[in-house]
Amino acid sequence: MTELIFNLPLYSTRVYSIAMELGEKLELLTASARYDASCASSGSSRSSYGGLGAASPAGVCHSWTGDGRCVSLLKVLYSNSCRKDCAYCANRASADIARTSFVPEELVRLTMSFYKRNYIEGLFLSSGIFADPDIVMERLIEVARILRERERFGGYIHLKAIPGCGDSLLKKAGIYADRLSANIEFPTASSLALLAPEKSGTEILGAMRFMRQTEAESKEDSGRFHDANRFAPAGQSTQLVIGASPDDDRTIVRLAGALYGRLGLRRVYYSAFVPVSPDPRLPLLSGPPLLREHRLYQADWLMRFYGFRVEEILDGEEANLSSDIDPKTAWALRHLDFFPVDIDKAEYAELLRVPGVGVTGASRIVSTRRSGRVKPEDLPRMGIVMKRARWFLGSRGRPLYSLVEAIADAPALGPSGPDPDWLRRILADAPKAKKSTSYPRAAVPQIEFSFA
Amino acid sequence: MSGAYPRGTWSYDGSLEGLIVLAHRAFSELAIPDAVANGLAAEGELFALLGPAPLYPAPADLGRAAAAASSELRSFSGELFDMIMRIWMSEEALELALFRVCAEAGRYGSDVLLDHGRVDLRAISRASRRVICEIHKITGLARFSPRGDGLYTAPLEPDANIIAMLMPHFARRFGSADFAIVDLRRQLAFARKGGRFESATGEEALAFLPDADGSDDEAVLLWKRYFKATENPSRKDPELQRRLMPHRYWRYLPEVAGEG
Repeated sequence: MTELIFNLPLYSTRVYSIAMELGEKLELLTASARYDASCASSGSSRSSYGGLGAASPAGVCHSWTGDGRCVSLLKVLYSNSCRKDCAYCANRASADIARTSFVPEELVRLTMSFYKRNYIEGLFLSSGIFADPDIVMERLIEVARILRERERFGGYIHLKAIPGCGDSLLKKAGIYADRLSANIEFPTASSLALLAPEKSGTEILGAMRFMRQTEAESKEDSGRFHDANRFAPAGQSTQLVIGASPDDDRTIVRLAGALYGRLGLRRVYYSAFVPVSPDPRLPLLSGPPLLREHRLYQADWLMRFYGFRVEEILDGEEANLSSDIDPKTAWALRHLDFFPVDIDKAEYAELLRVPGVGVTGASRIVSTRRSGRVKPEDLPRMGIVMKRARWFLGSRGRPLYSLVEAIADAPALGPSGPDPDWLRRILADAPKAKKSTSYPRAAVPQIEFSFA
Repeated sequence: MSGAYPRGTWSYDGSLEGLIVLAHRAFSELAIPDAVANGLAAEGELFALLGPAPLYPAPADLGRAAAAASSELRSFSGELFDMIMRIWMSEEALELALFRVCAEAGRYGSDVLLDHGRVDLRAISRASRRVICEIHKITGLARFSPRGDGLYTAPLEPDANIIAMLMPHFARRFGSADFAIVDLRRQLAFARKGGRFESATGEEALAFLPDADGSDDEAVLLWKRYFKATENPSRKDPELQRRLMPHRYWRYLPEVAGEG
């Protein structure tokens, strides 16, 4: 077992054990992987290679845990032994936790037996950096290789790209995997230097760039040769830790925008920082900043599905997303001159800008117009949330709120429409006590990543 | 609808073929009945003593009539045809609303199907969506366990009659392996054994079930440990869990069995 040599615990006070019972290992290496928010099994279409399994483009959820998150993949670490001592990480080298590692056959067995029972769509395999990056990457590839080649497994495989490993290994990983991901962790080089000094932003972005390029080349090839093995057909994703660093939301959103736009990432995940071990470099939080994470996902959705440009999301004075209102409503309140949007004439893209109107509602308005007029009273049945939308939609040249008697005498309705501050108060989300709202303030100068 | 004329009570035997033939009649003759009698729904009542209700009008060969009706409806609008299928699967008494939509679509064209202001259309598209959701949920929540003969079987109790719709998905998923899906409530089973598809009803359907409950299989125990460990205790939100995975599904899920 070469692993025994590579995995010698350098810092841990506990005994490293590879001979642990499988169930115990599974528990440990699952608990170590649960801070990775990525769960998607979508974006790939792969039929079985005469063996078991197929990946479908839509993805499937197989269960929901007590934290309300979808279980789609067997998400585990190959090993929770790690050379790096990143401040925010549960598996940091100095953490006093039991260390262990799978061997490839154990993971193959677990994946196959869970898959047959319809517990999972496939495997998400990450790892602590227990050895040289090349060796860690090789181990992960070996598991995927056995699954694909020996077991002829056609299900979903998500592999962590280990930054710093050789390009040829990344290329190999992408042949077996549906999706690859390298976690950027923080939106600035300064935060990475502060909290994960052994990680290199240049290396992480380099890996992303290489994957982007290889993906594009392989796409071109598969157009030419039908059977060309597509490189990571579900593309790449990444993750940012939210709330452990002093970065503001504008910086985070800008980085995400650049990752989508310039590096073609399919998903950026935001993971609220869970304080696991005390470190003077970390902020003191009462709990994970779940509300902030939620707002960032909303902003992310605006960029991906609602046609918002990155610069529009925080185009006011505030550098952070509001805790009381969602980013779309916030944009609308900053741009009241854009409204009312007319349900009889507005383009799909304009309707999408209206708070309370989603992708489904907007397309229903547009499709209903093809066979008749959209009546304001039909809007709720078309999936429009009137509580919000009535302030921003209009019909036949009149804003909808002016058609509602009970509202017509609202105190703040002036000749030029409702007062923004008053509107903000009535559109604010009811505060949820359990969602921590703490926003750490920037304390150190931020050095942003540069994209070539 | 001025052009449509009511036609008394239409009755059918509750079969998909019967529903398709009647939907096609509404569509092509712009006709709508005053009422619909579903022979299957009336089972267990006095009607059952009279035997299955005759289809009105009774075509000589229901299978062939349904095939012809299907192909015409489908070429008119795939969406309308899918909706008819789903209304049948939903087992909800929405035939009348469905026939009205079919007659309106026949009269005014398929744009009618885009008009979400229409009451009938809303009712049937809501039911249709419920069926789609049920198919999607069960696709993930079906739990298979192996029998001695290597067959992987999933016992289910779906809200709608959907297990036939699950077959293409699981056939892709199981590759060359044998599997069966059993609807306990409707005593209906679909299987693929040795590359061939089979279906069964009644006692024969239940014969696909495994003899032991398999709750102490190694894979089940490992899965339960995995499920517990993957939860993030600092983010606990059981309300959200229940919203996404309603209680009625829990009895087939070993990871939450006995909880809640």
